Amino acid sequence: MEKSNTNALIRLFFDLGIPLGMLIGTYITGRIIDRSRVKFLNQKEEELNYIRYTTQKMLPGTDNVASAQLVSGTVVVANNYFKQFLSSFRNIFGGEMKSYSILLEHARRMAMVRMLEEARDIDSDAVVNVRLETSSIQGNNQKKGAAGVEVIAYGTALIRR
Amino acid sequence: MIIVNTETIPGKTIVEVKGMVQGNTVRAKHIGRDIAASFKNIVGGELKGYTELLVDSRRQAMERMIAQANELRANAIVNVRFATSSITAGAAELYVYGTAVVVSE
Repeated sequence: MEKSNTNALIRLFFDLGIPLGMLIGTYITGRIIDRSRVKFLNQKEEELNYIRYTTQKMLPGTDNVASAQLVSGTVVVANNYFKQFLSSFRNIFGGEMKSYSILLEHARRMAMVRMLEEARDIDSDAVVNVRLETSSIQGNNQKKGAAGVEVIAYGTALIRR
Repeated sequence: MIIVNTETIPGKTIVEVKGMVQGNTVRAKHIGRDIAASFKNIVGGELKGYTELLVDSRRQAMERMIAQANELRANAIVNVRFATSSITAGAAELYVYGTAVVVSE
């Protein structure tokens, strides 16, 4: 009698305890990661805001150009377990998946920052024809769907004479 | 080799169009990194292993495109576009294409 009780407890721990622990754990780490990421992005964008960029082919006031070079920035991101869990409910009722919107917004900003850093490294202060592309990367586990979302930002950095 | 994603190269003129050049690569991450990435999938945030993989693969695809352009004796590639698609589990295809041209000052 007692043995089956402990067995049931152990089963309960594995069935409920681990997912619950993962939910709480990833909720906490997710908040910390989010906060540091926003801080990092704000700081980097501040640092790089002297570089102008546009989706147009030409930027006014950038004559005197000697040459140009392709610059790009890539990032692959994933939502944490807690947010994936919440989003699965959203999937039932419909509506905006806010956590994914925010994740992708941050990913895009990150890709842009990396692109601008590449432009900075070649002493450019203007990037034209910027394009942003998103695609989902599949993991080894096909059932789980996408392992991550890739965002790439690329454009042409103008090099002054 | 000058590579841009605009139609013209500022400060230079295109004197000859050589044709379309392309490069692609399908790469998979080795299992260790993939397991690390799946753990990272629980925590969330950036999947550094995959980012590195894609940056490397894109560089390889670009090199293939540049090799084609060299064969055509072009000295620049304009209108470059990137495309990524997932082909099969654990692998992604990186595709780069553009137009090889000859430019002069």
